[in-house]
Amino acid sequence: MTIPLIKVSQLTKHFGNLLALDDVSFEVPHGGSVAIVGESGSGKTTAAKILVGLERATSGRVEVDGMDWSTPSTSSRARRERARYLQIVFQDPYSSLDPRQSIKSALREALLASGKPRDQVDKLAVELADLVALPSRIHDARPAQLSGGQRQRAAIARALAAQPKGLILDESVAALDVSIQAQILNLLTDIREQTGIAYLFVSHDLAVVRYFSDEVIVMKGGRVVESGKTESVMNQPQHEYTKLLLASIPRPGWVPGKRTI
Amino acid sequence: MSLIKVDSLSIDVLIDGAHSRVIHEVSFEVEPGEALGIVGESGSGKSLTLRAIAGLTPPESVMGGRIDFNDFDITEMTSDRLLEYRSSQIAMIFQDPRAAINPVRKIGDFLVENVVTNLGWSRSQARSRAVEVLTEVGITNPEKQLRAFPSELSGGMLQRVMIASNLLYQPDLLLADEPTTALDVTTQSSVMALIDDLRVTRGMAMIFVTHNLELAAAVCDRILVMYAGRIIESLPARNLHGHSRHPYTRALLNARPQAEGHEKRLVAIPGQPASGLEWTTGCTYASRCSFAQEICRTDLPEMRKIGTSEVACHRADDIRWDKQ
Repeated sequence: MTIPLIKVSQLTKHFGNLLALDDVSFEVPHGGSVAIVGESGSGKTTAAKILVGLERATSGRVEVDGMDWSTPSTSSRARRERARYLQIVFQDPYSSLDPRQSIKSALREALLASGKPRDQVDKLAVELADLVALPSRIHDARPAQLSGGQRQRAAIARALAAQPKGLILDESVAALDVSIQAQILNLLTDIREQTGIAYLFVSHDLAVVRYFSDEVIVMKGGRVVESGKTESVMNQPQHEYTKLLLASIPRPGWVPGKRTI
Repeated sequence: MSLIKVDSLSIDVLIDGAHSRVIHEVSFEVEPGEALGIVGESGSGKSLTLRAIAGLTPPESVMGGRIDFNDFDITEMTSDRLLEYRSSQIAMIFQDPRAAINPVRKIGDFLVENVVTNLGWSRSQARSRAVEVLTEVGITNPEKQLRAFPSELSGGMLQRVMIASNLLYQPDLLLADEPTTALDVTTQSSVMALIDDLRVTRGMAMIFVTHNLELAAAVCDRILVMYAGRIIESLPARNLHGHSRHPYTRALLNARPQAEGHEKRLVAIPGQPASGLEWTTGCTYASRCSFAQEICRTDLPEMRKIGTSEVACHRADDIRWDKQ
């Protein structure tokens, strides 16, 4: 049996009295593209944060490439090791870029942190910027001087510095203009083809998920209500909530309505 | 007679000590009861155009052209007349209700403030009307909600309160700037249905600004597409998918994954969306347009009628979309 890149079993998370995750289990295979969809309060972002160690689960098990990651790493060396497996890109690229740092210097820092030799980081930083199609004239620019799309490219490049086996994309294209969103989604598709990286795509946008992910996990109120191949979940949704979500997407001929389950 | 007539609107804003034009030659009309959608990407000028109609242009900006409300130029209004216009004839809803409602005052105080302060209603009359409109927007137990603070309500509930605040009086025109963008998709559906229903039953006109073309097409009668501070296409909403004529409108629609589609790659538009600051002698979209020819870079295309569209594109009548 092949070992998945991410295996989450019976994950729960309490914030005080609030049960943010309730018995959540899923897997992301190596090189796969899996989406978690859901609305505010569904627990999708909490699950993503637990995977990269930004939140700690109340109970349950997290395995990455067969290793037990259920408890946070204690040493900086162990953290660096984990960074080579999973990286995260947020909705707002400002949250992962230092406003005072040039793009090139941010990439150099990420490369050094992932253990690349000092005499190679300049060359590797240029390669990373090329990979995400950031033109060389903006390598010395600071985040505020870039457009939203360029900033998100820089955040993706930074996340790729450690050559992770998986990227968690937490609403990473949600704030972008439609024309730029398509550019970034195409870029992510190309990177996956070139590197075999896996994506866990956290999103509320079912039209994008349908295009981007092979498998989908539908969450509501901290629970997984439905999961499966994207095609079958979208074409033959089983759970009432999945049907409601699909019926709520505006499209030609759509009429807004009060839809409930 | 049009309810709103915008004629050659231009707006110059102060940037680094100098005035720069961001809205260019914008003209359109809205009939009573009509729903007009304005769509476009960041920097297209859609929100600024909407704000200008409410008389809310940025400080120290210079406006050219005219905006008539019932044949009365709003730029000529005295401050008393402008207050009357804003408090009783138009209504506004913005993207983030939390930014528009005072967080330390109760919902009831927020709801009655306009009609008591500006329209001279008594507090008890305003309060009983507030209970009615909260019920109308689907809020259960309205007496209790009047005593709640904004922080106690969800985003969807608060947007309903925003809508309700505009219904105490009888506005002729609703200005809605991305009213459902911050809401969950299921909440968006019910809030949009509510706006649609109230608009139709009260005969209110609406100008609806959004980046979501599918949503605009679903709730509007007519769509204006803006790019770089100009209107580049105006067409009936039902013709947006399938009969639009401007390459930019087509490209925007194609850049979204199709609801039933199985495309391998998205058709992205190269480059960045331009703002109104980046005007050129020709068509501002030409640098991103796969159909651009020499004339597109040198001559500004005029709006002209082709099929059911009015479109500003030199090539609009020789591109065969059915062959693309």
